[in-house]
Amino acid sequence: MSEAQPTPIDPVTLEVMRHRWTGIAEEMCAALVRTAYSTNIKDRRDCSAALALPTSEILAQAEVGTPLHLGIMPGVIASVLRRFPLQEMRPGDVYLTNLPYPEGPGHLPDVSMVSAIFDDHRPIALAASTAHHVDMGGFAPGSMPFGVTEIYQEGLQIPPIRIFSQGRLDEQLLALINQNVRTGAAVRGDLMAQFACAQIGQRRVKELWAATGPERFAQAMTAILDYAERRMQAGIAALPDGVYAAEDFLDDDGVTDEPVRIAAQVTIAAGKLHVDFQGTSRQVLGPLNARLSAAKACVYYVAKAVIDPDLPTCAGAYRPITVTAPEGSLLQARFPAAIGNANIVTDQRVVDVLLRALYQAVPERVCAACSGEMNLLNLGGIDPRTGEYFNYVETYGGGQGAMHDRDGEDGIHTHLTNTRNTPVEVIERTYPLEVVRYGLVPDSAGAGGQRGGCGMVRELRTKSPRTTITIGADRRCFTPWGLDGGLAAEGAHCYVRLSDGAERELPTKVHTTLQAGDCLVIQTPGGGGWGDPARRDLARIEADIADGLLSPGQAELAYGKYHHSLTR
Amino acid sequence: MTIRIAIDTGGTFTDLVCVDQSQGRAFVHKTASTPDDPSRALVEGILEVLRVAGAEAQAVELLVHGTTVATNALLQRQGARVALITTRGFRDVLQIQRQDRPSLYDMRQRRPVPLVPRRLRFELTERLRFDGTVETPVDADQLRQIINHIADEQCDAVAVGLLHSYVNGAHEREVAQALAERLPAAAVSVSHQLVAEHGEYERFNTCAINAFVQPVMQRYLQRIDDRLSNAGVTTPVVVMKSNGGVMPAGRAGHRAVETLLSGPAGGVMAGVGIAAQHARNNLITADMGGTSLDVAVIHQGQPSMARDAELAGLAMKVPMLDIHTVGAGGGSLGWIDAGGALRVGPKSAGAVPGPACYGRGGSRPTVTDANLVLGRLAPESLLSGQMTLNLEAARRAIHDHLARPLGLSIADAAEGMIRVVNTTMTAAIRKLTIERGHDPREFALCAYGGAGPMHAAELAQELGVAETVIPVSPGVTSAVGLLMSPPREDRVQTFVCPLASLRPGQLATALDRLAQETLEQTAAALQGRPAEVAFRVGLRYQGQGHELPVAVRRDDLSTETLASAFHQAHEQSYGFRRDEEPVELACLWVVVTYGLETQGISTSPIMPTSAPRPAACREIVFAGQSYESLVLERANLTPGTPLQGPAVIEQLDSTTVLWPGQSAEVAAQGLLVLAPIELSSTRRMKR
Repeated sequence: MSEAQPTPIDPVTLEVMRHRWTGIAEEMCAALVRTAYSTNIKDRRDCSAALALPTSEILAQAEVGTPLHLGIMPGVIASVLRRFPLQEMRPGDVYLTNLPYPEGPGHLPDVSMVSAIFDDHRPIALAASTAHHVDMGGFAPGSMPFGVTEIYQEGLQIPPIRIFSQGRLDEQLLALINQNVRTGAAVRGDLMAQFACAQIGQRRVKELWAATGPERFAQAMTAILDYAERRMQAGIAALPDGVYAAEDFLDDDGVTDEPVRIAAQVTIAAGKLHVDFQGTSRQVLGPLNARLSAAKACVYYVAKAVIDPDLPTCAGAYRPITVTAPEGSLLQARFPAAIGNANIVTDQRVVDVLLRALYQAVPERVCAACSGEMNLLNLGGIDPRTGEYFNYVETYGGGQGAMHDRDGEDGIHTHLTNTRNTPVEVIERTYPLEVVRYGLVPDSAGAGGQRGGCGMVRELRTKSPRTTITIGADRRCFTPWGLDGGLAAEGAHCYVRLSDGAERELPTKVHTTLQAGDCLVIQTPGGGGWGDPARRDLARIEADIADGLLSPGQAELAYGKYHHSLTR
Repeated sequence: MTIRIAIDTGGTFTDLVCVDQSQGRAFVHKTASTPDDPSRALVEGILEVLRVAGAEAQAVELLVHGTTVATNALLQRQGARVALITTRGFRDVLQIQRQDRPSLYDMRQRRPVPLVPRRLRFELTERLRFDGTVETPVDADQLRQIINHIADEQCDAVAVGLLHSYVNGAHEREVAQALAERLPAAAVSVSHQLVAEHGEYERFNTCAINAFVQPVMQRYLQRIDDRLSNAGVTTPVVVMKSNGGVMPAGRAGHRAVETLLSGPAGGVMAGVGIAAQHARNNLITADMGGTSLDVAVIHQGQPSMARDAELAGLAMKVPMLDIHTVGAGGGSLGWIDAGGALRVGPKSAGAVPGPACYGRGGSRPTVTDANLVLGRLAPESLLSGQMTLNLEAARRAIHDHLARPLGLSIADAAEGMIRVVNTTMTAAIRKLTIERGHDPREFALCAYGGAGPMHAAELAQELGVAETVIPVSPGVTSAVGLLMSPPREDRVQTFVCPLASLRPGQLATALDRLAQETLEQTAAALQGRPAEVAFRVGLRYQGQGHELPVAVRRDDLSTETLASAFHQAHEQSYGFRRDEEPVELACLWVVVTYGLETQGISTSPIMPTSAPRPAACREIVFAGQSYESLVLERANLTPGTPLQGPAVIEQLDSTTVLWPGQSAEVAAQGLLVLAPIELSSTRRMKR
């Protein structure tokens, strides 16, 4: 038990109230998923819902597929409150924003909605939601293009605006938004879903307020935050104090060939955790820049994963954590730097770097580098079967990094994303594509006492006369590293097998076209190994060979000097 | 031929209910389970209950069995050695699953190891297109080689899962045929025969699960058959399925994957019976046992169904009752977390060591210990005195682990545990109702299982439920439900088509064909019974990812009717409709039920098997105060008796708690009906 001060309410009521608040946030999020229109929200569940104190401190948050929203929400609420102070808000007023600058959602497709919940007169809480919409206009469908250098090209920027006035939708504002996006109907449907989510939060919080009474209601809110703070503090205090630094590089920013450095210095002292991203590259031309709220989300994710995966998500848990990054750097980029793909490449790598730093403090709680990016594929063209435009979007998992006592998982989404794949049978029915192969990549895992996970391969043959593709990947050069003597994994590899059999190499960040019959092959990185390969049991090596995940040649190369039976 | 017996095998006890139709009497019996071979307890139990009922083996006309044999084989990974034959390029589908991970934050968690190791997953050159046309025929030579490999590997079961087989099963049938000829001893599971829907991972995995448990199930059913014949019982067993229906043992042997949620399904079907008999259209069933709580919803008399589920992280696509399980039961452990909050579960003391009060070596406090300390559970009430509980051990466990570190009295800590575990349970019930568009306040609560009736009053209050019903024999409700479950087949088929593009008669033809197939598959075993066919279709707004099942009448399949039924269902479930949007079909769903003369069985009075005791009193703590409370014997209560708390109503395997001021009544046929707790008289909500 923690030695922090006793709560004003008893430990039973605390637990009961915490459940109720979390339950409301979860119900809000479920309502959002259920009523949403676009697949991003409905199937990929890229959304979250939160309740906050009138002070804007998050009290409870539910996310179903996206830890990235963890740290984004406080900034979203703060930016709305800066423009529309609480005392100006009326019942039924609802505010909207997707603007990452100066703080807000991570990129333009993430649209956030904030509203106040009132008792008879005063605001007693705030409800907020963030959801990834299909399209917010700009250079390319999906509003996450490569080949751009400014946020103006990425899509429509919506600073905090009042979209509902006392319950009435502002049709003129909506018309302006709809005119600028490719899928107006879906955007409208998804905004209504977010409105439904806010309504649910409103109703349930008022019910709870009525059942609890104003005084106890306020006490419980504070107690829940203090409770989460105590848990986080106790968790941090159990880590050895010290300063732990690490770095890694992105291959390039998609515009120039320069590697991009991500550096973090983690300081643990007296139950507090501070991360400074000093040493990280200056902001880049390509759309890989981020704002500090995204970097914070990475830090919160890592803290939760390493310290207390079960920790309730609320402002109290973040109190012992501070994050800084130099102004004008990759992680605190200046307006109007392009920002759209930070969440699929940059943020995922920030997590790898933080874990590499914490390896020095608590090696048994971290994993080696994972695939380190989300392998976004956006593929579109005209479907010859219908004559209509089609658009297939998916992110591909890779290998998970090994841990000190277990192998990494093969072919899986790691860290900041957890979206499901699209079944082969659905792809082939819905799009003019044939899936030739979908499986694990042998020899892609980092060797070690514990091996990393294998990467994945998806091989797609196009049937449309002309198909446009955008790939957002990384880790072709800077492959996923091992820890404690474990070896690096195989990196990403994308190429086109032309109908005549020749192969055309593709960069990892690319916008290009394919002809009918071309085969696009996307191979994702494996996960890094853990520990000296000498420590790996022969039986486990042989099992991988029998399973075809390790070739005899690679086995000899990685493990041959320790197990002579593997040398030929 | 007037005796019907239900046998529900649990981890500790095998529950039996025996109904003598000729005399209109029912008997309840419990016997210790024999986990090494559950068929032993099953047959012994049958003979014992026949003795109690004074009936002959020849008089048995129906034996219904709820079994966990397949479930346990899967959970303990003690199934067959399975090989998979799949389309070239896709042998890792079983391993990648849907590429998502089980826990967002806990990177130590792993997906389950696939049931078929990669080396036994064989890729076959063959290919169908999405519309079922052949791109590449089956390579027969390669198939022969694969089968030789499988023979060398000594696999006792083979799963066949090929892409797009749900549209055209010809390639899978060709492979199955070759296996039958060349590997006659192997049990073969064919994906399209188990699942007629798209989504290769779920279909292949359902097929792999079936292959894995099928031989175990077949051997088990054979042992039952042998033992029954030796005992002179010639009636064949029918097996409970996850969908709330039963199937003949022969079919269960081949479709074992359909029995994986056989256990809790019986209780839900008892709830359906109670809903019908007592004219309660909307009922929430809550089955609280030692380690978990199973919740289900009955809406307008029909149990809610799910089309897929996960067991131990393995997906299966089989229509089944929508049962939500959380780790909250009598054995759930109380603990204090790093932030100083009192937590309960999900860890459980299980059967061993069990609650501290069992005196089997458990020293940590469980929910059962808390109920004992508060006086809600009597030291001698478990199984009516066959087992005594150690009150001192319970007090010590709560004192040492919770009360002392939290600075609370033992009673306050015990009540705290109850409040916290109740919160977990109501959260589960809210999830199942509110998140599916139902308001729990429009439902009655039906609480059963050993621990359910003890918590029922408080759950009802938390949920705002106006009425709570406790079945006649709460501890054997699942067994009772087995006798109320008709033979039933569900068949779902992917059928994607915008309503606007539907040709006249196309839908009717497709539904008829599916119904015909389903009837043909089951008719042999159920000859002569009247069959009833119900039709549903899955509809969605074009572009949506999830469809909603809507019941349709065969004689009115007009697109207007379908669309309007869908808009209405969408509004009911999701709170809004978009009449201007085009609607499309996603799947067809046929339900075939066979007549079962269940009248007069269901919840009719069950003979008490414990000796009646005189009414007594004991001290029970409610909301921090001790009340002199009435202790009543359920068996002594006659219909129409008005009851008033504070009181407990005890019976063989369960205790119902009435709060101070709370009233209750024994309804017709012995059902106990609880009114809401009178808030004013207890002021228990101390928040």
